[in-house]
Amino acid sequence: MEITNIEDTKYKQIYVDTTIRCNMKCANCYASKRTSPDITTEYFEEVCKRLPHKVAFRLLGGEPTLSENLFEIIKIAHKYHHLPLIVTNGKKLIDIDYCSELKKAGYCGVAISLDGGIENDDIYNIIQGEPCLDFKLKAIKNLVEVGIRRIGICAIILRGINDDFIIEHLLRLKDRYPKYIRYMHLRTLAPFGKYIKSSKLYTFQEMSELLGKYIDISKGAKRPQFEECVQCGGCDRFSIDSFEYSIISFGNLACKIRGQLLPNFELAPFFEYMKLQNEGKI
Amino acid sequence: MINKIKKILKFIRKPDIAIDENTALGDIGYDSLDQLEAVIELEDKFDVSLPDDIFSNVKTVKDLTNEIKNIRNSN
Repeated sequence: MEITNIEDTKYKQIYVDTTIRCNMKCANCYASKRTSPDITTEYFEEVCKRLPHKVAFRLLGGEPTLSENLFEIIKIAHKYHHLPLIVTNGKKLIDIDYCSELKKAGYCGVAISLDGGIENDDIYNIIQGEPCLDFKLKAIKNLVEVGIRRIGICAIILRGINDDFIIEHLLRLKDRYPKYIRYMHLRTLAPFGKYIKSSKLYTFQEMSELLGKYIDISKGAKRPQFEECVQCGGCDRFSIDSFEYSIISFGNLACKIRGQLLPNFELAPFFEYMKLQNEGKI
Repeated sequence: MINKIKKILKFIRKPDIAIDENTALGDIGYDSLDQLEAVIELEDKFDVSLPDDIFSNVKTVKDLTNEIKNIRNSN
């Protein structure tokens, strides 16, 4: 695995484990074996200072809203013109005061996972092991209410579990808040860490075909996320009527744009790091 | 409005060129993340939701200003 120093990095999208603590016990979790301490604001600020170019930070964990430093981390990212986005289960966002504080911290995209859809808790009970529907819908309502304009709705496509309804549900939800829900992100299961092994993994092609049953992908304006993307075939991103769709084969080792922040001001290829860590090799 | 937009465009990345209303957005030297940051700042400043690809759909600073006005009016 090629480790690079922050100063020399070419990664444009950097994944940051703000905390490894989590308030859920999902059946699918590639980060279940992590043991690192919460990231400090001092370390994060030094990272921001040393980066040679603007990056998109993906703030995750664990559950990033459990980090006591999250708002400060967002402010620091802004100070250095980086673009933060949190990837959250949404549980903490039922507190509208928390959402207001998030908004006050400055721009931050919010990607919220909705693997069980928007109608009932049947699938959430299987995947997340608890009912989630109420808090996820409340979280989105709160984000809209406080004026967070860049909400992403995300799901892992699970064969035989949610693949027969999830895209239709997400499309309906997008139409509920058209000025706020700005993108839909679909991914395959990562075959690392904890995951539902009985659900045969979707391939990228299958996922693309599944999405194509609901929208006319040929109308999409292709928008590779970064100029540096080598088009490895592991993800696709396009917009239709200014709404953005992205699909990703999660765990694609050929990806050259996603890096994982490590201690000691170093970065690793995101998916390779994830794989080796779950194999106990690092 | 156009002055506020010019100020935001300069804030995102100090351009090598002077920015006026006829400046082509392509000449400012933004990459995709600069464009996204600009869109986010513009949304915040003018309290409006803008498409991420707005920079691909307009040519000059003046066109961008008009597009934002149109979107605001349609809301």
